[in-house]
Parts: sequence; structure tokens; C-alpha cells
Amino acid sequence: MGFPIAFPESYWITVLIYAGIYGLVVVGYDLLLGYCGQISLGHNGLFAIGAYASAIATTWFGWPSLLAIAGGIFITCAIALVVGIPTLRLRGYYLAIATMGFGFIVEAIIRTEYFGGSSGISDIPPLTILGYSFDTDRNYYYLVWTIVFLLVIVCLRIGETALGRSMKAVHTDEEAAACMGIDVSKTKIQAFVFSAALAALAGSLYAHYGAVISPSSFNIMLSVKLLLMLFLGGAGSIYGGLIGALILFALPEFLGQLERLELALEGLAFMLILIFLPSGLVGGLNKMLKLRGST
Amino acid sequence: MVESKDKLRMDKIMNSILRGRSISKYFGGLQALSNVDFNVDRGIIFSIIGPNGAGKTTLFNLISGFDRNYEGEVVLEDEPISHYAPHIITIKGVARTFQNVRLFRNLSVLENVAVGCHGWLSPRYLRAIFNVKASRREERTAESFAKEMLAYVGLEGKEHDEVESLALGEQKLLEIARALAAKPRLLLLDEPGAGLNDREMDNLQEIIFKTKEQNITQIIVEHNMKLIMRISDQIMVLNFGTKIAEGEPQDILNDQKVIEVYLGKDKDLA
Repeated sequence: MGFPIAFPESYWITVLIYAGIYGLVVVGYDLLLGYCGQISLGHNGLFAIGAYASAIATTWFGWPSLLAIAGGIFITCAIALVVGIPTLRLRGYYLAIATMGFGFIVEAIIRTEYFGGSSGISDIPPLTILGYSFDTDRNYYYLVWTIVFLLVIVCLRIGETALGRSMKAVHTDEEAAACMGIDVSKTKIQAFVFSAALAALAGSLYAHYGAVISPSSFNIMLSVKLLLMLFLGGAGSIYGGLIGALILFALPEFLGQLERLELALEGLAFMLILIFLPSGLVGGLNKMLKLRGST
Repeated sequence: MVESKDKLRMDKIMNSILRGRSISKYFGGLQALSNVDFNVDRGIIFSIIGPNGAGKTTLFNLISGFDRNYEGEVVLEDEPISHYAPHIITIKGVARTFQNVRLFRNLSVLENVAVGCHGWLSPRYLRAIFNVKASRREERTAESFAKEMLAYVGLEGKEHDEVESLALGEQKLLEIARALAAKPRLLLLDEPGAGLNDREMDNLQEIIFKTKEQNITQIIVEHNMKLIMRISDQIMVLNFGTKIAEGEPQDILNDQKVIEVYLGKDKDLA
């Protein structure tokens, strides 16, 4: 947390801000996929709705930041509920494809002239909360990572209660879970809406940091990258996705001349993780510590 | 005479925990169950026997809501529960185990049992996030009750073990503990004795009797006739989806039709 104090002008602050923003989406996504076992390839759409809603509310209607963010979260959750009810009856790759379809729909809509077309929305004002403007990298870093820290604690809390257990039960065996008194549909929809809320909040933070948003930032590749971040760090751990986000955002900075191979290297990382370390870095480390503890 | 017949009928209904009327189930063109009627009195051990494919597990699936596509009516005490979702039926007091053990492999032994508490815990997101004290109290209650159920079936000390590390007999006991954690009025046990050795079978019998003493009604599907004869108050026999006999164990043992289709000539089952 002392990094911006030690290196106030560092480009790495920007990298860490974006890692925190995307990490926030992945934390919510982990509850949905890591705990509840529901794969969504439409989280790029949820992220976009949060970003555009907050951007439009502040730039077109002059709403204060907090109200704009709240409105963005509300709209995203409402849409997630409407989309989730029919699609979460599906399983496996059918669910993945249906949610991907949702992502395509959102991307197509934000490309229309009503939402600024390919240029998107610009001149998004910085976040202002109770009169304090988060208009420097340093204070935005602290804002993002404070939010991330608090929401990781919230998600860990949810995970260690009966809610978390019911999600894991649904993940393993939906029918047996139902016979244990678990409302499987409600469990899946709640997880989807909750993850949508985090995606929307992250979208708002993204919009107000960059001051410009355009449809190219919210395409299907974002959902694929979120999956990669989650599996790289470790699905089902909550904070594993943050580690995945940090690695994925730091990676291009180390590639140098290999930067043009970034996508290929990410794909290779995906394959290697799934083959050799399916529980991700956090899961792998936990296993190693357990083994050492038992010998 | 009429009055006494009505009174008998009312007494029967009052004493009944589960009734099935004209239950029929088709899988495509195959009739798995055909007009099955049954009545299970409160507090008894009611066994269902029959050859493989007779419809026993299918009947369990219909009662528990696992399969809601059937004809006929199932009434729990005086409430029709036909076609209710399985989680609603569990909340109303019916819990079950499965013919092939279906434990949650990504949860520990204790967590598996704690899942059974879900129906009466009613966990909430807002309480988990904002009322940490109440949420923690709820968790302690679930954990404590789950430990009690594990001790009840003889699995104390295994709370933090992984499910995969348990032997088959222990996995079956864990499933029973999980079902009991739901605080059921009616417990459905689907072939709890399958694959158990003699010592495990004796342990199972003890648990079934202990559960009866708790006034929990049990319906048991089982092939082990020695166990069935020792524990049952009432037996129903199914064959090719139809009920061919119902009565007390000794009556079933002597029923010609049952002997023909299922028991065979070996009557050393008492």
C-alpha cells in the first residue's frame, strides 16, 4: 500500500490501478464461477453497462459521482436479473454461449450512435466523493485498492457462510443440493447479480479514471481475459483472481520486444495453467503447503 | 357401523405421515410405476422391496421432488406436495439419501453435513455482510449441529477429512448424517445397506432404530432381506412398477406372489 508514497511518479501506479479495477470484476466472478460453478462469458457486457451508465449519468445529466455509480450498479443488477433468470437454467457450454450472446448484444448496443458510436464517451469527470476529487493517480490508487480490500473481505465472508457452502454444493451436484433444501435457481441468480454489482462498480471506476470509454474496451476478449486472470490466480479462493490480474497486467511491462506476442503468451499461459495447475497459483501453493505440513 | 368406518378412516388419515394415490410414471413408452397407492404411518419404518427395475428409486424420486413429472398425488400429512420443487419438500420435512452416494466432493465431511442445515438456516446476503454477529451465530449453530449428527452416525473425529478419504460405508453414514441435519419428519433411505459388510450393517441397523426412537418416520428401499426383516414395521413390494403386496414382515415373507417374483425358495430371512 505504500508503493505510491515511495514511487509517486511511477507508471506502475497506473498498472496497479487497472489491475485493481479488473481484479474487482474477477473477485465477483470468482463467487459465480469458482464457488457456484456457473461460467459466464458475458461479464464484459456487465462491466460495460456499469461504465457507460456512470459515464452517461455524470457527463450528460450532471449527476454527482456517488449517485451515478449507484445508478450504474442498480441498472446492471436489474439487467443481470432479467438475463440471469432464463439463462441460468442452462448448464456448461450452453450457459457460456448464452452469456457470450449477451456480451455481444451489449457491445453492439454501445457501438450505436446513441452511446457515442465507436468514439464512445469522453470528458468523463473524475470521481468526486463528498467534495473530494480523486483526480490524481495516487489518490485513485488508494481509492481502488481500498474498495478492492473491503469487497474481498465481503466476498470471503459470504464464502465462509451457508451461502458459500450452498454455492459450492450447487457447483458439485445441483440435484443433490436441491434435495438438501437449497433453492438452486435462487442461489445461481443471486451469485450472478452479486458478481454483476462488482463488475458495474469496477466499470464505473474504469470510466472515471480513464475519462474516456469506447466499445473496443468491452469486447469478448475482456471476458476471456477475466477467465484467464481467475484461473491463473486460482478459482474458488476470492483473492486468487487479484493475483491473476496483477500478473496479467504486469506481464506486458516485462515483455519488451515480445510485446506483440502478448496475446499468444496469454493463450499459452492459459493452456499451461489448466493442464499443470488447474487450481491456479493460490490453489497450487495451498496444496504445496498442505503436503509440507503433513510430511 | 358407518360412523365407525368413518372414524377408522379419519384415524388412519390422522396417523398418516405420507400417502400416495394412483402414482404413475412413464419414461417414454416404458411404464416405471403404475397406479401405486401407499400409506405410511407416523413413526414407523416402512420398507419398499422388489427386484431391480421395480420402480423403488423412481418412487423415491417422485416423493422427494427429484422428478416432478408424474401422475397421481403425494400427500405429506395433510398437505399435497405433488410436483413441489425438491428444496421445498425438504423444507417441509422430507430428507433423503441416494442409491449411489452423492456427496459434495469439494466440501469437507463437516461442511457436507452443514449443507443439510440449509433449509432451516435460511442464510441471507445482507446478514452475512452487515450483521456479522448474527451470521457468525448462525454458523456456530450449523457447525455444532453438524458435529452432533456426525457423532450420531459414528463419524466423530472425521470432521475435517475430505470426502474421498472415507470408505464406502462411511460415505453412506455421512449421507445419512447430512439428511438428518435437515431435521426431517420423514427420512428416505435408498439402499443404505448396499456394499456394507456385516459390522457396518449392524451399525446401520442401530442408527435406523435410534432414528425411530427420535420419532422420525423412515422409508427404506433395500435389497438386504435380513436387514429388512429385522427393522421393518411395514413392507410394500413392487414388481414392474405395480404394488403386488403390502403388510407386516411375516405376512410378506409368506406371500406366494412375493416368493415367486422376488424372495425365491430361501426363507431363512427372519
